[in-house]
Amino acid sequence: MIADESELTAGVKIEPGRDYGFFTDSSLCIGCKACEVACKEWNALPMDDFGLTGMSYDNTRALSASTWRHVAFIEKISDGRSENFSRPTALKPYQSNWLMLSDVCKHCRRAGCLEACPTGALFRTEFGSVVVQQDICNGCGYCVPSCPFGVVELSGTDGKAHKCTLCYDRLKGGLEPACAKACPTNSIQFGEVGDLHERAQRRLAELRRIGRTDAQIYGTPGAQGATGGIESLHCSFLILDKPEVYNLPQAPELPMERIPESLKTGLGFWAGLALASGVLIAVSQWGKEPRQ
Amino acid sequence: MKEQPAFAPYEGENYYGLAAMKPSHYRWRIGTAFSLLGIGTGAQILSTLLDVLGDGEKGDRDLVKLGRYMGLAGSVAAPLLYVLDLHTPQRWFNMLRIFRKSSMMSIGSWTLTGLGALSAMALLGSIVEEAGLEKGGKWAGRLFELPAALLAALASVYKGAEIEQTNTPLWASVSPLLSTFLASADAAGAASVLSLAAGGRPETKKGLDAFALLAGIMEMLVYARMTQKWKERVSSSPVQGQGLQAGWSGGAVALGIIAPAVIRGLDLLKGSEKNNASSAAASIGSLIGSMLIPSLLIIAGNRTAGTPQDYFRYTEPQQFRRAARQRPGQTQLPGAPLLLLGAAALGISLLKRRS
Repeated sequence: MIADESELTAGVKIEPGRDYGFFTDSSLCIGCKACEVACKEWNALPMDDFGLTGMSYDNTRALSASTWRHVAFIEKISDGRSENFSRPTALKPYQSNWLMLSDVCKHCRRAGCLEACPTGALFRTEFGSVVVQQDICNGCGYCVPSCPFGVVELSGTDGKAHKCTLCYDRLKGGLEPACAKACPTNSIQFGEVGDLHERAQRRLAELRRIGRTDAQIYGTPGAQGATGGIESLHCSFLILDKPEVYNLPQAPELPMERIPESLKTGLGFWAGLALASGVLIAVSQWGKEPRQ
Repeated sequence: MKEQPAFAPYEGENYYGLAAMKPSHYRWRIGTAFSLLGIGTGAQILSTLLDVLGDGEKGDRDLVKLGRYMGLAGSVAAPLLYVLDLHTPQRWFNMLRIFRKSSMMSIGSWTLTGLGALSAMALLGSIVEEAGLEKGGKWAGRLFELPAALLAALASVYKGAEIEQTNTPLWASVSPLLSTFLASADAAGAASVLSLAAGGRPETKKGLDAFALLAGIMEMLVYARMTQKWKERVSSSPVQGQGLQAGWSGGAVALGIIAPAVIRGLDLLKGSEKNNASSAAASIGSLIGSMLIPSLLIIAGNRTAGTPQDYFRYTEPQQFRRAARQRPGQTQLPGAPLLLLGAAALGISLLKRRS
């Protein structure tokens, strides 16, 4: 084993106390699924349903308890220039109308799953990632609908929540995550979050300069995906169409922001009802003989 | 090539119709737990009101004891169902490992723990009272029932807040109203049970029916606002599906909310003492509503979570949402305190007219 191998493979030394994540540049993705395979192999994740989905080359469908990297394939049948949505006869430079994106847990700056967890099983590591402690999780499942991106899921096998750990064990050993190391085109880039966000902006500017004006960033502060109190995603993306095309929400919300108002409104109802009851009873007793 | 703006209106795109978020794992156990807990907490609060504001006659004391029994039953049955629903139930105690104020489930776990203990002690007061130590039992019961009532209010409200605090479109889009909606169903349901048990106490029965009517009016108002918000942020009819829409509109809303409120309102206007049958009918309707509403909301909510169009409409940037831009404070029920006082004033004037 090479000490601090990530310095050689990703150009970044991994140190506790700093925030690490991914920048996934879908303009470089070739849909090879090396990331899916590497993730499954390293984490010993079981196979999902075996069968063809008919969803282009995507037979995984979505992130789940046993799929922590998911490559989305979107065939854009029409390039918008042909009428009647017929297949284009001339391709645009730099990728055809076939979009590919390797989706992953976003390890949000403010994570809905972590803030919802009542047991403390979900915690933030010294590397800024969000991890489920399997020896504490009791499978309540509250993290599942609290995640705005549909990442974390309960396993049908062991009844606990599972999701990407940003290869916590590899980070502790100075290695970059398995998916980033396996990616042959450097579509998945690993590094410190701040550096990755700057890299994302530079890449966006470069793509727009060469004519790819539909490119957009997802997950950096102020961008799509980092809304509603989430602040930013430690795993950001460069996408070539609207987020919904990739099954990502444009303006997700952190559900916890709603708690105070919800509790105040409900408790106010009970207070008002109790007060009204008191008034009714007092008035109904008014003028009657006091009880002995 | 046209430059893609940072944010854009949602135009129906999705990824092969696959869900963009994962639905909750709530099923029949959670729906049933919500109903039982709701009626129990409502009864705990009502028994406290009866104890403190009632005239102390034996019939009322019996109702106070019944309310305390119901409060304890709800605060024991619901956690049992919650534990059975865990996918690793043998680790249920991890719920009490930490307190996390950002997690409604954590708040609820601690609230139910406290409520169970206090409800048991309040009931013990009633038992001591019946055993002969009347004054001591009464005051012991009151000592515990007051904090129990406060925790019961929190427990009643936390259920709606818990499901609102997810990204499920049906639940999250009506925040902060679900806590009040479910709490008003609890109040109406609990008052209905006690009204059915208050046969020999016409004055108390009338008061409980008036309480249930007030709760029912609030339920209707909140529901009206909820349907508006669903139209704005999810779809025109988010409660869809074979049987579900009929169960919701016919069972929960018509039979469980509207019919009882209409019956009780008419009874109040007629001012007749002989309204046992109509009162019972209204009470049964409210109970049906209390039992159906949580379960149907859970089923319908999970369906919207599994429908990408519903979720993407809900997560559409605010500036593109179909309704006008939300005004500050619009999410709060407009004029709720005034409406409640107005309903109370109506009740008072009707009672005065009768006497």
